[in-house]
This record gives sequence, C-alpha cells and structure tokens, in this order.
Amino acid sequence: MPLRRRARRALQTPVAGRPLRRDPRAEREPGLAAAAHSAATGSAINVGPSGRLRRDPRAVVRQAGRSATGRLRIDRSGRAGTVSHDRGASEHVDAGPELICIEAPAFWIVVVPDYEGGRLSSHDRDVFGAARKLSDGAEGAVVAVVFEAGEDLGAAGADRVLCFDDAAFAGYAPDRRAAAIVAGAAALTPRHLLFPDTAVAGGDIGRRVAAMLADSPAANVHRLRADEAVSRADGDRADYLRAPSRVLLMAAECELPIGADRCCEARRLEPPAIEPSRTTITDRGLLPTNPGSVPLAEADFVISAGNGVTDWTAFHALAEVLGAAEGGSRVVCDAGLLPRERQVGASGTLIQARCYLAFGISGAPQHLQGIVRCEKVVAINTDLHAEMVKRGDLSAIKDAQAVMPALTRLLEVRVGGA
Amino acid sequence: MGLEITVLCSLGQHPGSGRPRCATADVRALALALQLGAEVSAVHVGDPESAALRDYLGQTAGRRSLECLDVIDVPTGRDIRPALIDYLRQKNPDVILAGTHAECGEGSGMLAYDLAAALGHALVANIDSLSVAADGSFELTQVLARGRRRALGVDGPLIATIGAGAAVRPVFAYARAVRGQIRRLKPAVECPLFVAPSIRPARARPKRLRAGSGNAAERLRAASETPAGQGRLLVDPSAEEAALAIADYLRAEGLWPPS
Repeated sequence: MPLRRRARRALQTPVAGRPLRRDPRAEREPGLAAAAHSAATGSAINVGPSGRLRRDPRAVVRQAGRSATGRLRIDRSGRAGTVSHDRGASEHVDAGPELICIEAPAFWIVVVPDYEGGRLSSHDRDVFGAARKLSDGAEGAVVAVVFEAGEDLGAAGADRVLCFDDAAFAGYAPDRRAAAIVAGAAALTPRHLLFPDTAVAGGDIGRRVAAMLADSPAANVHRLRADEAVSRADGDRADYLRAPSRVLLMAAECELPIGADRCCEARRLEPPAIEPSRTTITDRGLLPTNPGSVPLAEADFVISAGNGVTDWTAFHALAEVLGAAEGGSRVVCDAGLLPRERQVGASGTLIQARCYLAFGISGAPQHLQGIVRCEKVVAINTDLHAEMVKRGDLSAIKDAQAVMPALTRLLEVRVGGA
Repeated sequence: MGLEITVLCSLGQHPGSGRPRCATADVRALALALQLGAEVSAVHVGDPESAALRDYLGQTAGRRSLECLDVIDVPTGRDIRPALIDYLRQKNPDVILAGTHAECGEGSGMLAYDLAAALGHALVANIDSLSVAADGSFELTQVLARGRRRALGVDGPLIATIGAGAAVRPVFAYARAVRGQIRRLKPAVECPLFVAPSIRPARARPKRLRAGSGNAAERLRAASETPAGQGRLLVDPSAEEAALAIADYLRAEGLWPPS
C-alpha cells in the first residue's frame, strides 16, 4: 500500500554520522512526520504506525468532564487537546496565580474603571488589558482609581489602587470625580489615563478630565499601542490614527483581559486629601422603572418561564416582587402566554442579564444561545437531565409551581420583617 | 416664558446611502427644546449652503418648529470651537442642548465638554427629559444602561447632551422646511486650522469568540453549551429549601432583596 510505504519513509531516523536525508513525501504530509512525536503525548487521538489516526476510547473517557448530574460530557468538537490543557491550567491556578510586583516603575498608567457597585464589567477588564499591554513591555505600572470599595482589582491587572471612598463622590458626581482624578494623577504624572468609553460613567468623567487637562482625547479607541491609537469615527465608517493622547477613551473589546494565571498586587495608595468642589448638580437617585417596560435586551435581571410553568399568576407575582423583567421560551410565546417581544433565544432576544432565573425551561440549543451572555443562571426544572440544569450555576429539581410561591412568600416575609 | 434654549446642530450622514442629512441626536435635542415651549434658537457652524440644513427647519414637536437657523460660516478643516464659544457668550442662553456625538468627522463627543469648560456651565450627559421646577432650577432625567433612569437637579446655566436613542421624536413638515430662514453669520473670531489625523476606511472588527470553529453544528454547540459540572445541584428539595437556596444565591449576587 502506498500509504504504508510513505509512513515508513517518514518515520525513518537519520543514521548517526551520516547527513540527514530529505524526505519530500514527509514534507508534503507533515502529519505523518509528526506521528512519532504525538504518539508519546497521551492524547486521545494518536497516529498509528500506518500513519492513520487512531482514537483511544479509554483516553476519551479519561479526558471527558463530568456534569452536575454525574454524566459523562465528551467533547467531540475536536478541541479535546485545548480542553485538557485548560484543565491543567486551572489546576495551576488553584496552586495560585503568579503574583507580579513592580516596585519602581518607569512610568504610570491610570485606569479609571466604571466599577459600578464595586464590580468590574467586561469592558473594565478590557481596558485593564489595554493598560497592561502598554505597561508590560516598558516596565510601567497600572494604577486603578476607584470611588467605592469592591471586587479585587489585582486580578484585573492593577498594581496600585487609589480609592476615594468619600460620600461626596457617591452617586452622580462626575465633576468631583474628575477633579479627584486630576488631583490624584498630579502626584504620579501618568503617561496615559484610560477610561472605558461608556455613555454616563467612564466616557463622561474621561471627557471632563480631558477638558480640565486641555487635552483632545482619542475616543472610542479599539486598538492601542505605545505609538498609535486607532479610533473608530465618522459614524463607524473610518478609523482615525494618531499618536496616543494623554486621555484615552477605550471601546469595548479593545484588548483581551489579562489571563487567570497572572495577578497584580493591587497595593493601596494613600489618596491625597481633596476638598470636594462645589457642584450645581444634585443626584436625586434612580427612578423606579417598571421592569415590564424595560426591553429584554437591556434588562439586568430576567425571570423566565417555559413549558413547565402553568401557574401564571404566581409567575407574574414573583416577577413583580423581585423587580425582574419577564421572559419566556418560544413555546410559551407561541402559545400566546407572553408577548412575542418577551421571547428569549435565537429567534427572540439575545439577552445579557447579570442573572437569569429559568422556571420550567428544558433548554433547547436555540434558547441557550439566547442566554450565552448571561453571567449567572438559576434553573428550576423537574427534569434532572435537562440541558438547562447542566447550564445552571444553581439548579433545583423541583416543580416550578411549588418554588415560585415559596420564593414570593420568603421575599414578603423578609421585606415585612426588615 | 423666559426660558431660552440654544440647540447645536451638526450635519449627519445616512448610514446606508451616505447622503447628507440632519444628525439624529441633534434632531432629538431640537425636538426636546421645542416640546418644552421655550424660546428656541439653533446654530450650525459650517457651510450655509448645505442642503441638509433645511431638514432642521422642518422638524416639528409640540406643533412648533424653528423659524430661523443661524449658520456661522466657517470653512471645513478649521476648529469651530472659538466661533461657537463667542456666539454662545453673546447669546447667553439658559440651556444649551446638543447630541452626544457628531455623526460625521471624528465624533469624539468633546464639543459639549469644551464648551462647558469655556463657559463655566454645568454639564449633564445623555438626558432624556428636561423640565423647569417652580424655583427656576432644572429637573432632568438621565438615561443609564439597562433601561434605568436617574433623576437629577441642576441650578444655573446648563449644557446637556442627548443620545440618538432618546424618546422624543419630532415630525417632519416639508412646508416648514421650505418656509424657514437660514441666517448667515460671519465668525467674529479667527478659527485656527485643525491638524488632520490620518484616516483610513474602517474594516469590520472581529468579534471576540471562544476558541474553536468548525461546521455549523460545532459552532452551535460552542455558542450554546457551557462546560457542565460547575453548578450546584439540589435534587428534589422541599419548596422552602429551594427558595432559601435561590434567595441565598441572589443575595450573593446583590439582587436580594430587590431595591
């Protein structure tokens, strides 16, 4: 057989003392030449002596993950190698990520994340990633300026943290925050100040800081290098290239966040004493919004019903006391039990809620596509083997009709007792 | 009524056809001003011959429209800010409204901030509604992410920006667009030349995907499936146990008790 002959030629080892012979066939089919190397790696797919791929079923079982229900989860997507590699990496993380300490940096880069409610958004992490990209190659360090305490900033990539947690900076006080950032930055003279270009948080404060520093910032920057900042401009029709300005307003997904294998020390710096400036803007708090009127794509907290829900009064009552937006599966919307604009999934709305509470939803792939960007999923279902139960960060195998009123009662007791 | 509002109008461009038109966010700002029943003026800095400027004269809200649009004649490629600051100093309106970003050109959204710094006005970004309280202060609603709204109060002169998604929608009336006047003004101050950045046509940015691609079935699985075996599982708990577990979980996420 020609294949077998070719494989034998590819595997031939050079004889000591003689020059290495070129094998044109092996060069044409590098998979065969690599066979000898991959045979020793222990992966599920090896190359046999004939040069054919051989699947080792025991290795497949060894490498498969286990679901919450204890069933095998075999990855047949051809990414088995990366999965097993990831598992190795997570074991490494358990041992502790590499801690990076920078004592005397050559320059500073200030990052002001939105840090809403003390939580880093993915946009914030991207901005930290962009700052680390600038600082890592050139011995720089990243200072995070925040206005409330919260999540660990070292894991995002902050070497130092400057926290102004005075009551004067709470709520909507962008001019005070901008003044604090300028005062804090004056001591460090940072090379750049990076803000996420969001409508009313980072973008607002960043432009105020730029106006105070008489800088013309690059806005909506989606690529940042030491010598170049690329902004998407002209109604998303053109890229403007320029040298990075002092203040930079970064677009979402401008850079990858730093990996889980690294961690910066996030050492607290003593914030300078600042007299809060006089402001003519008073914050009168958030207005009560009717969650039913919030578009599903914008909702932060979604409670969703599927075919397993029959007690609709309990469902609506729970949505009301939780203050969550209502959603539903395709079956429910087809049946006319919820309006069409409340449908979650591939043919409905792709939601990005922080928390998704699914009652009686089995989890069709098209539905799971709709909740890919949800952070946390709670599933209540009677079927132990439903896809939604596997997807859930917390899953309860129970009838939705029993849990919904229990949850409503619990909430009413808590609110009444408080 | 003594309230005076000046709206800053820029030229826009249709995203599909590329034809010049009025900028969507500026039209929303104009509609908000007209709805209030205030004395409204509008200003554009640029070429007075642009055909799209007539679109602003045709926008009606609350059965009112602009009678006159001031256009300060500044050639392209020059910094418009000195001319605009000088114009607004002389006009001295109570409120200045503008869109958040220009649709053409760099569109960095800095104009309102530079004006606020130069004029010493308070600035509020991304508002949705504006009203005047009994004591003469302004009451604003600010648009936040995820459908939330924030109530704000402002004393004294104000610059506010309005996003293209604001709720107010004007109605276009062709006859008014024809009837309205365009008043040409010469800039009283010199506008310096702008340093042109290097510009290249935008290419679509790659979307961030999880590693791996393949046929449709694999992509669907990659998009819809998450590694299982991470979550906590309660098998047949009592209803109260399940409710307590969910409540504890929501509390850890900061969603319980709801505000």
